[in-house]
Amino acid sequence: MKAHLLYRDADFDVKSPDPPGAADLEQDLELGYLLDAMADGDSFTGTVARTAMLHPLLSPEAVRYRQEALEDCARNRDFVARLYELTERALDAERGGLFFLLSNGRPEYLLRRAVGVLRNLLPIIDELRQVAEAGSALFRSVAFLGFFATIRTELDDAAFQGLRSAVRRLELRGGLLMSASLAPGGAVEGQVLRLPRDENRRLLSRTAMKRPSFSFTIPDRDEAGFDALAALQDRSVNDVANAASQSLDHVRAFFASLRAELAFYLGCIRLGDRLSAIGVPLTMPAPEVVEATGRRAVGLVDPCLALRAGRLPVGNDVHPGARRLLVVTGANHGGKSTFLRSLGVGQLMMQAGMFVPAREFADLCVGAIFTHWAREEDEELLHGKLDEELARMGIIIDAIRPGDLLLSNESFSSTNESEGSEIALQVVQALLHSRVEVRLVTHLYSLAAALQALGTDHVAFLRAPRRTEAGHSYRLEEGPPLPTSWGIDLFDERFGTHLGSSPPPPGADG
Amino acid sequence: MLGVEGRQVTAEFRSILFPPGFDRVIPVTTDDALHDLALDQIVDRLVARAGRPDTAQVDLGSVFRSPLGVEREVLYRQAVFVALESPTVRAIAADFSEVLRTSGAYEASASASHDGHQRTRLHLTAVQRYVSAVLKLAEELPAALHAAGAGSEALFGLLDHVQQLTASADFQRLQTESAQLEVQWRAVRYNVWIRGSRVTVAPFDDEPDLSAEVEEAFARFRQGATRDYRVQYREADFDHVQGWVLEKVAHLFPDLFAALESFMAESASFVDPTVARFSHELRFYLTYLDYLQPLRSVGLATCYPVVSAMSKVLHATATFDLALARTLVAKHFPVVPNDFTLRSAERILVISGPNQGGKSTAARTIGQLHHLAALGCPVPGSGVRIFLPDRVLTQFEREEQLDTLEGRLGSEVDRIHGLLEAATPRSVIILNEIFTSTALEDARVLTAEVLKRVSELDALCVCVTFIDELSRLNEKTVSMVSAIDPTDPAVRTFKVERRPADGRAYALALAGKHELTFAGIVHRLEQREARS
Repeated sequence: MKAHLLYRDADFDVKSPDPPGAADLEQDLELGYLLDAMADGDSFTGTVARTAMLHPLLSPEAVRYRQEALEDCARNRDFVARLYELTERALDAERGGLFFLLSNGRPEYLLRRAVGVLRNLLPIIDELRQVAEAGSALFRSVAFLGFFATIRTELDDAAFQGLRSAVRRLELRGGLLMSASLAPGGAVEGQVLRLPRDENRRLLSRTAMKRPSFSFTIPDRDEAGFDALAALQDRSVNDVANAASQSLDHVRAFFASLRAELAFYLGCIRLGDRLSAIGVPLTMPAPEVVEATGRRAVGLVDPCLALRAGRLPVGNDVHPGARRLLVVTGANHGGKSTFLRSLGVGQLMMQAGMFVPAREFADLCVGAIFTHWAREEDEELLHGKLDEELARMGIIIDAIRPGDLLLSNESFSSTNESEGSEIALQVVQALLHSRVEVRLVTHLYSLAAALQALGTDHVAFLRAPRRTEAGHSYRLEEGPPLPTSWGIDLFDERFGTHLGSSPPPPGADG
Repeated sequence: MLGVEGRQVTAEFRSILFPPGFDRVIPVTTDDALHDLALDQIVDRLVARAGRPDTAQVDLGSVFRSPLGVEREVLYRQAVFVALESPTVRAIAADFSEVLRTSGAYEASASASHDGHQRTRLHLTAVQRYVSAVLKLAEELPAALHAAGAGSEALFGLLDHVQQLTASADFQRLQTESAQLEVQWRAVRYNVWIRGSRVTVAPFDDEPDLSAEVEEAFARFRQGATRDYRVQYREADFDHVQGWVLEKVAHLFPDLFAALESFMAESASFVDPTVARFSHELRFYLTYLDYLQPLRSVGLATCYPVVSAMSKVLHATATFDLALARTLVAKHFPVVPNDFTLRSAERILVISGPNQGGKSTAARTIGQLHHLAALGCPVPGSGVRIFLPDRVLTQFEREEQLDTLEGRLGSEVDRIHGLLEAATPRSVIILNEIFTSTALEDARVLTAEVLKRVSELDALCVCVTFIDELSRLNEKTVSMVSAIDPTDPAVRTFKVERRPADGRAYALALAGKHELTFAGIVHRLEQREARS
């Protein structure tokens, strides 16, 4: 019995390990802002959202499955919120969780705890049955309708009665009946708890067993005897305590996975509210491209920047079409990094089944997404910066596959332009040759110029405007690279110098 | 080499440590000497593994302290070692010993038990372990000994004994009766009902399993693998409540419990003393082989020495200090082996040379070689021919509490005096850096004097000293020098070579390394001139 609200045929595992490069991806795309908005203070939702985003869906069908479910949720917000609240109650059914820690793993404690919690869960399970009845009329998506149908079949009246009866028997009100054998040392062993046979019940006897029977009673003051009896009982309920605890685990796991899957959709709804409030346009993206238009984004913004700044950033349009390489050049602080992030985040959101912060967005589903950012500071001073960059690229190359996407931001800028360009050119050409999608921001003119030679059928170029030309607008324009990147402008601005207006003195470098 | 002509069964087999008829008191090596030779750690292992020596059994620690002076006795043990080098033979012997030990533990529990029913049951287990151990030994040992080509008089003696034992009527009755009782015990099934403080025992009626019902009801919720909540219990302690339950179970199965009772009465002392002794003495061999194992696994050679009670010739190739090698191998450091030779009339090895060069190690190695060979053990090195000494006597510097020089020197002189008193022409004497607390001239005279006395005694001796002229004392002395690496004198080679002592070689090499030799200084001056 699975909820399967996120994948049609697979479980969503909140704890699935990060794919390679996930930590860099999260850091470089500044996903934290987005995840925080989805979590809205609930760290569990934050974790769910993070896991969902870091494990992109790989097919248009999988994306549509979630998109429909998300639209369903948006239409039935209150219903979904109530269902989520029910799962939280189910997971809270074990009050006084510390009690478990004090149990020292004693089977009797384990059993009593499991039975107590299962007893509390029975009414919540019953409530879930009613919710499934009601929901079937309200929802339209394959995901939710399938879920409700599962509940109605798996938890029909007969099954529910079975749960009730099992819980009652676990309460062991009539004492412990067990079969046993003898250990080599003479002790009771091989205990199996049993249900008494009706035909062995007799008038005036509380113990329904065959005859002859022999009894003894622990004397009132025999403390050691009571301890010994308790130890015997512990050993005897070991298997049943295990069965009960595992049963409880099954129920909890069911509600936990349901809760995680609902948390994702509720997080998306919260994020949508936040972005809409700022004025960010949201669109359900097309997870595949039409021949005529190809890949395209219209008014694409970086949602993380929007959330951080609390205002609508300048959107960008880009139409790479069929081209697998996009190169962004131009002035520093020209919005290149932000644009690269918006491409990455947009792709991730689309492949998580979410809306995308754009007026229009269509792209192919890529495989894994990797980022290679020039790092501001070298954390490990023992390594040279270029060494560190190469090492990181090496790790990516170890993991990247055809159909994946690499976002490269000023890679190999830690060495001189000629070396950096040569390394980067070889990397990029090798990746393209291996059918990896590449989105590249660089101020390495030699690199950009060399990539131009690949021809406009293969490379799309965008250019950040010089600040003096476009004011504070960060809108990128299509256009080939220009041989300077105006870092001097920034310097001049900050220092009040005029280095940019006169040629650099001979021998000066960078 | 083993001196054992095929299978030679003796009716009087008793021990795998001492040949039949052995009846001598052996001089015991002192703890100080064992410590100086770093063999005390092997003794400690032996004692730790053998446990407290029980009155009926041989004290293995004392066996390790007692060198055998007779070739036949040494060969008797060497042959056992050789057989146990076969993994099969070893596994069979070790397994036997282990099972016999558990049998003893069960019998001890039986004796300690206050519960009559439990006592009979523990006794049954003890007997079963014993029976199975003996049967297995009798069944597996012959083929293993043959396959290993082993010619151990001791082990064939043991085998013969064991075969007679298993053929005996008493043993066979133990075997069949214990097996029948076990089958009946395992078949016992009963029900227990616990309600409050009342416990009822009754026949089992194949009632339905509660866990199965619970699992089935909740299986629909299963999402994936779950944790196993079962507590892993060892067999339950047999407390008095268990005793009461067992007593009630005995009411359900009266015949079985009566049979256990009479079985115990009939088989009160079931262990054959000779196999018990074998099991105990085996530890001497296995502990020592285990000690060698890590050394052998890194390729260090050990061998069974050719021993002589007559010839004092020493020959050892690629030998090493057993204790130091253990430490080095554990740390993945290389072990440097050395060769030692004493020909015809040679008796005294005088080892000199730079400090930290392995001189003390060499002295210790030679002492170990003699002691271990005389115990019948395999020794470090290859092609070893060696004299069987009556004892190894040692004089190593003591870390004593005496503050004054007079005190230290006095105590040292006392100890050397005692050593020379105890020494016989058959002793091996190891003198390590003696008289270091005196003036050089005094040390030279005193050490020469001691060596002269040793020469007169005709005992074997190793003398580590910084006074290299002592190596030219007389025709009995042989000079050995701790070697240095000529390319890098700061590196310790730990190699000790047989060659004349030359006190200056080390200083020259060190100078060379720093280019402060005559040639080096001239060369550097020329280079500097050429640059400027």
